Amino acid sequence: MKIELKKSGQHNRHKDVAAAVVWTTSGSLVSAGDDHRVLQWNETLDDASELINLKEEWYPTSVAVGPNPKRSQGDVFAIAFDDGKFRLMAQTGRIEKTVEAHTGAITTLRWSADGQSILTAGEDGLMKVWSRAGMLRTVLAQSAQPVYGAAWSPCGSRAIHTAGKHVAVVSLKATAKAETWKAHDGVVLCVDWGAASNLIVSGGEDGRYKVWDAFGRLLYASTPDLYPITSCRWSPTGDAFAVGGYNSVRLCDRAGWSYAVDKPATGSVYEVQWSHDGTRLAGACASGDVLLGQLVMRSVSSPRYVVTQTGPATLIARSIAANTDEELDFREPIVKMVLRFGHLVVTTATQCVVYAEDNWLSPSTIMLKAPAVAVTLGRSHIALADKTDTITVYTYDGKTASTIKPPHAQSDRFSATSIAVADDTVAIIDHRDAKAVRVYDTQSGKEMGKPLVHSVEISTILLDQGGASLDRCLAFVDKNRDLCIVQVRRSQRRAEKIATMVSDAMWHDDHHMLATLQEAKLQLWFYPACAFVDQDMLSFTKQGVVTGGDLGKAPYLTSFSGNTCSVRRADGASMTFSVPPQVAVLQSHTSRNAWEDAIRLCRFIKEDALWACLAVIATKAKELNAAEIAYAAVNAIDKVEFLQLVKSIPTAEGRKAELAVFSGQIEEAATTLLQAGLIYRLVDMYIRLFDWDKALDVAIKHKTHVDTVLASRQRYLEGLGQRESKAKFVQYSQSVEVDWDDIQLKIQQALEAEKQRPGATPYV
Amino acid sequence: MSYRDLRNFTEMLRTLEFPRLVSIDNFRQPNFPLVAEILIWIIRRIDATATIPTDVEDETDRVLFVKAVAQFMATKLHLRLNTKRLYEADGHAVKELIKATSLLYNALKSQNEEAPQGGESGPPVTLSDFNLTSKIGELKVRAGAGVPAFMDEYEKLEAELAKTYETYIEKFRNISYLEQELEQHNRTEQDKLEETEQQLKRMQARLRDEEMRMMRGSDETFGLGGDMDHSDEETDSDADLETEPRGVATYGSMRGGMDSDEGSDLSDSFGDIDDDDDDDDLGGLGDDLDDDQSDLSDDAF
Repeated sequence: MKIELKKSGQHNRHKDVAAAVVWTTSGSLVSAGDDHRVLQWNETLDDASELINLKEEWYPTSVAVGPNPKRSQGDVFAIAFDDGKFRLMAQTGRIEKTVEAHTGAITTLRWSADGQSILTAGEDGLMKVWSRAGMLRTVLAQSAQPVYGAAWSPCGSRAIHTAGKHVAVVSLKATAKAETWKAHDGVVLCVDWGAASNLIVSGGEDGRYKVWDAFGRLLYASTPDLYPITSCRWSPTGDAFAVGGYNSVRLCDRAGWSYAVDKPATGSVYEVQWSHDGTRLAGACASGDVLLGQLVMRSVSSPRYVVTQTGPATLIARSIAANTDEELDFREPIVKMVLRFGHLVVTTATQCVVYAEDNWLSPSTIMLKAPAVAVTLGRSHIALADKTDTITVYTYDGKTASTIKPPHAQSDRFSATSIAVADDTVAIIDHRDAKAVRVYDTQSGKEMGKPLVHSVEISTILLDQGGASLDRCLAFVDKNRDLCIVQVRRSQRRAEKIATMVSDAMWHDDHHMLATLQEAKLQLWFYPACAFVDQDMLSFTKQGVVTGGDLGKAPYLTSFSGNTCSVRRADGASMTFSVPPQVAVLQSHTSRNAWEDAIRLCRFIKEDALWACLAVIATKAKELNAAEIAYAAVNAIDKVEFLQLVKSIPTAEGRKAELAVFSGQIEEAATTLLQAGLIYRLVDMYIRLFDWDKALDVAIKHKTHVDTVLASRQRYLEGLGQRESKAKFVQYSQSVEVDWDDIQLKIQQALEAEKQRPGATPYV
Repeated sequence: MSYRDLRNFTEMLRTLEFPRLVSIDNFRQPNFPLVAEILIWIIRRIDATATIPTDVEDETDRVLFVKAVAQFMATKLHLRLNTKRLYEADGHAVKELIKATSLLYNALKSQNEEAPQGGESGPPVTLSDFNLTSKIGELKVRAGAGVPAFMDEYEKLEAELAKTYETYIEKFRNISYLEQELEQHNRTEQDKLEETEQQLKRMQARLRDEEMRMMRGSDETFGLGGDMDHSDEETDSDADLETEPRGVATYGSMRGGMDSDEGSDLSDSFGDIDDDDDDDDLGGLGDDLDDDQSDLSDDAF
């Protein structure tokens, strides 16, 4: 990635320091300077027109653009001045309101994402929140030192500000305590909180810029530059940020390492601002110059192609094997490009163009109603979130599959990590409550069931691509970095936590396999769904990958397909590791019900991990013979014995229920037995689970085996040396006679009756 | 004091290459040594020979210093500085300082602007200008603009430049030759020194061996003499082998010592830089300007 920077001409630029730049809602660039002018620049930065002429004694320090309540009248500019006032001005220059906000200069002014509030910070050490009409809401922070930088959190419920060498995160709720930490060795001059990345970047007079997560954990610290870092800003896409210093503009990856640095001779860059689509960057410089940069040399790759952006509207797709180039031209500047699942998806302001990897000549083109803010790919679908807070799902041939309008959605908070799409399911993190995930059907666009609610905020969601629809697995990483998986298309959604300290995770492109990065180690999960079948096998079916050295701080996964898995390290190095191919082969055998082949493969490979996978898959498919062989191979004798017991059960329902109990799905087992009318089995199941109340309830309801429950309970209490404490049992033990011989007889009768049922044979 | 003044002032100091980094928060508290350092530096930039008292330890010295500075600014730059504010050495002093620095800053800025403008003058000639009629027309326009008049001057200057360049090349060649000679001389001298040292060592070892032999001589039987000699030679050469590496080791360690000395010097100076990073030291001013000069070079690291 690179930025092609352009400097404003000598004649147009500000006569004195340019203090602030801002992008208007319509996408044009506006700058304000100490020469008391607010300039609007054209696309190419050749020409500037004076938008507002400020009074002689007004020195602007910061400018933000907010929505106008009356949309027809254009934007509202909130301009902060060095005398501590800020003014709300219309595009025509008319002053709507003057607010005396701070003593001393206002250093930063930021409009909230929803456009309802304004954040100001000043030299007096205060940070205040104002309504969009300029009424004071709260004084958020008071510090002894001047506040040079401040920013909203992505959800707008918190704000971060600098104070000397420290930064502090303050909540808008009065009860929450501020979190303060020392960020730099020099005064901190700028800070920004990425809406899409939810990461914080700060820059200080020590010449370093640092990346923090939302809890203030340091993710990256740069090597010191000779001069202070004066500005920093996250790209709206969340995958990069820009840093401005003395004579320098640097473009960095979200992990912190630097993509490119440009050295315009313009003095300190006091502010950098990304355009709304994240493809252009503007800067305000001490020399009075305004900078405009175009993002180029973005690159995406698949195992077969590398696609690189060479100009604003041109791409080159290079085949890795044949080393041939294919040039792709677009009518408008490229906003986003994604390459996965054999397809390249490119969006511009009005179009979404889809190429199949082998067919660069005839792409399918989708006309967009609004600019896209996030693109997520699945194996056969594209989910595209746009400015109108809508997600549209397309197939790769350009047909609309469905349109989803999630409630409370805010377009600027959509990102590739908050949307997941698979053949049959679309999942979206709720924007009002980040603990909830909404699940939709890909084809109909209807929400399936209630939102899935987790105990803490969810940061990333992923859907697996292979496998049956009913087994569709959603993996999510929450803010405590715990990885949970849940089968979203089941009526009973049970989230199973399978790993902790997960910094990133990715499903395999074709199979039910998961790669995770845990404490800088790459871990492969050959069949994570065994958490729903047999938890004990989870540790057998995972495998750490020997990475040959540390992966460093905050690495992330870039691809996981075929037999390879790629990781991007924090220092920018990309590392590719091989993935054992046998798991994919095993999964393709079992999906065809070729159990003999699967067993032969396992015997050939002779690995516990593979046997464990087979054991779980076979158990799930109720293929008991294969499961028995597989469990025997991993020395799980208890499970082999259990399976033999299950095989001896004469009815299919009985076996099904027993296997459901095995995988912890008690309710499913109970329903199965109840539907089949196997009351004794149900009572017996509850007794074995020591769920006495339910056992008794069932027995009473069906007026049978009440004595069995009572007798078993009695024996259980005697064994523990305790007395009966449940009132219901006391009551029934008085009225019902308990005779063990009689009970044994009844049980025999019940089992006999089961054997006599039509079609009842033990499992073969 | 105001945020904007501090921001612009620190920016100007950066652009004018003031040897320290000045923090935006340096003038929140009175900081006379830093103000004095900046003033001295400004004056030295304007007039390297100016005599200004540099002692600012106690009150009377400071008053004298501020007076001298104000007088200098008034006479040389026609700038009226408020001495009271300068003495306060806080944000108000910045307002005074900025008057002087902005003078230098604007001069530098306009100088930078002129340079590219000079290069841009004249209509651009492109390959498509091969149309003769348009070319003739163009020439006429040029003749009208008086280009040939400058052409003469340009050629004269070019010739002069070529001559100067030639002498420069000659001098440069001479100096590099001499430098090479000197280096070679130093190297041979060093080699010689090493050789004599080694010889000395070898001689010492031989003497020691001889002494040992003489001491052992009484115990040895006569008949083994020849063998003895042989073995002696062996031991001798062994000793040589031993001393040689030892000699190298000594030499190595000597150099190593020098290296380590240099290393510690370096690390010391890095330590200095680290100290300089502290806010307290940022404002600190050495008594001696020469000291500051050395600080300057340290900062260049």
